[in-house]
Amino acid sequence: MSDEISLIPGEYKGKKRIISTLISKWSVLVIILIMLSLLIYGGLIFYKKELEKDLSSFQDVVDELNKKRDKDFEERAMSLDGALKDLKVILKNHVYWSDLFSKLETLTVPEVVFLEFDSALEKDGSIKTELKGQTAGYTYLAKQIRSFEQEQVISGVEIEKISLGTEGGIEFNMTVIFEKDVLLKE
Amino acid sequence: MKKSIIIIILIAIFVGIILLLDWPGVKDILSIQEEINHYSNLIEEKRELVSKTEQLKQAYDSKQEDIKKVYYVLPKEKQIPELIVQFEALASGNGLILEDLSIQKKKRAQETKKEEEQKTREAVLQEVETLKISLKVTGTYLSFESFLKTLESNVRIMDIQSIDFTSKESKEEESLFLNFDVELEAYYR
Repeated sequence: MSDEISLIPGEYKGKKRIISTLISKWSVLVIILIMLSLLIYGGLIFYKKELEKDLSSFQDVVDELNKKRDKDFEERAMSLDGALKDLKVILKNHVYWSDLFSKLETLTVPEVVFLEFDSALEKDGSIKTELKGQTAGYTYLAKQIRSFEQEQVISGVEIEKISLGTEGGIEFNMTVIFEKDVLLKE
Repeated sequence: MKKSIIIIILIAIFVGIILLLDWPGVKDILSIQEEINHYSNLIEEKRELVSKTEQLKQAYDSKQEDIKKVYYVLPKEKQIPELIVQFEALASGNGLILEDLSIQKKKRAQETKKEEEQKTREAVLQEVETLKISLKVTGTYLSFESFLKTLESNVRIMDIQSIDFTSKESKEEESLFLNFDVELEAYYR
């Protein structure tokens, strides 16, 4: 009576034995992992499609917002902005020659008369002024030179020619260099 | 032995799925999410921009008169006919006779670059074009002084580059009259 009583059919027992000889517990674990990874893959595909839908709707919103832009106005605003920036620079460097003449008038000795005036803005911003004048004597000319030299906005005074005038007195040519600040206003 | 082979095959399949399907899938999703974040920020920026533009447009529309003034000061065109009329009015209005007038276009960009190198200008006026104007006027010194002051406060900005004057060598009654040569620059964009 050593035979065990079994309710499992003999054929099934044979199949189970074949399966158990081929597949171990580790194999089952790996199969579960494979199924899990496939499931994750399915989830990823689903999630990716959802994200793509979201992305597409975001792109639509961006397109819609781009359509709302008033490009004509933007160009006008940019142009105005540029004009204002340029204007700021131009205004800052706007020159006032009347100030130079006022300065020259206050510095001129009463006995001196200027007959010719030739003045130009130099590249460094200074103003080179060539003057031809007339005066009764050398003392007045000396006073005139001193008057120019003592002025802060004048950086240089040069006398080129002094000669006796045809109608008495003396005639002279001088060059006066004004600092650039004399033409600018705050 | 057979069991080991099956396990190896199964592991290879698992690794294959992870490497060929799951990992690229995750990478795709991360890339899409990054793109979504980018678009999300872009939308926020664009909404803000649209809103600001709208506000700016309202302000722009309400300040049309001031904006017109800006373009009187720095016009978009040369406006040479207007300049001629202005000079004629400026000269006669201040008791001077306008004898000669010439207007030429001058490229400003190069000059301002030079000036910037010499530190006489603080910014480069890339967009600004310059008209070089030469004029000869005759009149008294006081008239010319008044002409200068009017020119300096003229709506369209002009900068004098040089002034040259000599006494008029003619009849005695004209001895107070001087010939003035003025070179100046006017700007437009």
